[in-house]
Amino acid sequence: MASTSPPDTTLDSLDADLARADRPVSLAPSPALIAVAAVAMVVSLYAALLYAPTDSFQGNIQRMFYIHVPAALTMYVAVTLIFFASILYLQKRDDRWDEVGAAAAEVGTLFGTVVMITGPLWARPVWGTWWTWDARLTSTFILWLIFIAYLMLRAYGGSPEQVARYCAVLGIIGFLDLPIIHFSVVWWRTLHPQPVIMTEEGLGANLPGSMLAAVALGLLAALLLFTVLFRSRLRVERISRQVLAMRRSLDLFDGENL
Amino acid sequence: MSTEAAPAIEARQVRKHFGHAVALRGVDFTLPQAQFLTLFGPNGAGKTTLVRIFATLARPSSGEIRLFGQDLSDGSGDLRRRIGVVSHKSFLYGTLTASQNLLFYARMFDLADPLSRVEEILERVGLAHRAHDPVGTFSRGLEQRCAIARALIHDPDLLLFDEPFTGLDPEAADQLVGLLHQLHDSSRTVLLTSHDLNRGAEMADQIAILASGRVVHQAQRDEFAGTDLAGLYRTATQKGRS
Amino acid sequence: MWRKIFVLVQKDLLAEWTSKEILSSTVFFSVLVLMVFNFAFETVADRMAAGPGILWATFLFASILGMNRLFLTEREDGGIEGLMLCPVDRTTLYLAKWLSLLVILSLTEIVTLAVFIVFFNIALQGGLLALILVIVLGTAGLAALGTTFAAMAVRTRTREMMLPMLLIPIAVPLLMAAVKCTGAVLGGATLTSVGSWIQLLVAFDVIFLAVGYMTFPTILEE
Repeated sequence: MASTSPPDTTLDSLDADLARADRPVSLAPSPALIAVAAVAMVVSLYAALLYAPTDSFQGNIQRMFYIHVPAALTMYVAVTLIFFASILYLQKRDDRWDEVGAAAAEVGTLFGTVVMITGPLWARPVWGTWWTWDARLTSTFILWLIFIAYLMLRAYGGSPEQVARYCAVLGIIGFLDLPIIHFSVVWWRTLHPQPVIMTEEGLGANLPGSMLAAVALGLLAALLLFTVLFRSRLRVERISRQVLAMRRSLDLFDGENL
Repeated sequence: MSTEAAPAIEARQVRKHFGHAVALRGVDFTLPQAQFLTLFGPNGAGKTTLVRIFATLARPSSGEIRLFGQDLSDGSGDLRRRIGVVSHKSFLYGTLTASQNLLFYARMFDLADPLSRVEEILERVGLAHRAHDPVGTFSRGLEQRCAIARALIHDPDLLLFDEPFTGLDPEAADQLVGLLHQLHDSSRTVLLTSHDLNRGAEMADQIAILASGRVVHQAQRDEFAGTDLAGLYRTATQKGRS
Repeated sequence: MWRKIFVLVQKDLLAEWTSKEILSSTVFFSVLVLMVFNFAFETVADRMAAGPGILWATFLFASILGMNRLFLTEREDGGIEGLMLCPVDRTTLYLAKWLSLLVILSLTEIVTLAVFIVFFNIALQGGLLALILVIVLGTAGLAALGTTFAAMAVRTRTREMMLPMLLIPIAVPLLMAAVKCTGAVLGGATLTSVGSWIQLLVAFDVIFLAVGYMTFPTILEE
């Protein structure tokens, strides 16, 4: 019997796509969160510039420490987030984990750029050179490069489905490489100021209390800022995926009478 | 459903998208065993995407596909032994000879006595005289024949041909038609996609037309034989496009 | 599985042997790079000090070339898809490609090493076996990452350009370890003196071989 396929009247898939589009995008950072983050940033700035004592050896430029270190630590938080999101994405194939990866990577790269700028600005007056290939700066630089490679893969990796999978693989590989990078750069040669926060004597044993407080506040502020930016970026990503799904639904039904 | 009675291919609501671009919009398709079906459709209709999915080279975005009653998504290793694919990529290594290429595939399919099987299949497609020449030196027609040998070497139940007439001169095309007739008579299941309405329909038991990512027409031989295929095609693809 | 791996690697090596496409370009490229390094360093002392680094930088660049060639041709002739049509696990394909790459790269590096010894007047002091071990360990790691990343890279819009961007940052620790070990051996020391670096190399190889193995099916998916 000759048959002409009836127009696709099962609306299941269209329903699914529209339901997705309808899902409230409540990811926006709440005003409360933004306020807290702003306050934390102001307080930490005060602590960094005024509260903490001037370093007897390095002078005022040492205050860059209070931005540089928290930003670097936040980078590591970002890459850890990407690692878990990547694994979850590959296991569950839920786009939401891919969105997390994309958002965390962009914001992480931003913090990384801050580290890369404050590093040389601090190094020049203190050590006399813009750059040294010492352990910590090298590790962080390599991590920053991995972030950038991730962003390149996002941009040029192909179809969204392929990009999601490939970035997840890179996210996993990049994270697993971090401890290896750490050991290799430490063993290679070290010039960085000896660990002042995390030493054998215990956390913070070498720093006067006020400096430690300033770093802690800086870290808190950085993490809050990261959260605000991350959630905003995630929201943007979620919305753009919904637009994609809607375009696809329209394409699927090709203007037919529903 | 026992494997014996199961259709060679059963596809339900198969969709495939790449980002916002939709290649397949919900394909419903059944190909019973031992039937020869030719699938026609304009460029961009999704024929190649569909064949790649049946060949296990690509995964559908959604939908169900069963080959011989078995779901494609469960560990298709053994299913692949029953499928042979000929596409515009030859899947042959240009620097190796026809014989070396086929021996490789024979071993990959765990064939008993690979050497004699290779000789046999080369005879069958008429390539015995070029067995020891690198495939890179073959003309398109000969390369095609070697690709067919590769697809047949493990004696698959289902054959997928994706636009095999492309780039063939009339002589090579006629030879291909002869081979397709043979395959038809051997009661294997064959799915052929083609632009060439006449050659493609010549030995088909069924035809189907894919347009805009959907199957818009399907007909048995007694219905389309002798009719104006070109006209039928034009109307069906217009409908699909509207 | 091992039988299939053997068949696959044999095919790759046979194909390469008949054309020598990859080997000829990587070897020639290595020689050119070594020559450039020679001019990049002015005094003999500079060159000697930089020796191990020069060697591994050359290995790295030549490897990237080789990986790109291996995967690009697979993509064009549809070679890797031909493999996907066979009843073999995609994880097995990873191991086979890794081994093929390892062999091809090692061959390149042996020739490069010979040229290096000549250009830079190296006296080996009996450390040849140790040196070969270091080269194999380092190359195994590069090949493990390279198989993963090259398979991805050739499927992206920037194609082969993507490979160095992915590979180099991740491979830095491997390079450091390889350079330290090579330096030790060329300086007459034993491998035990650089024991921690050797351990790092092995750990690197094992981790990224495992990750590559597990993620290859995802990479080949469409």
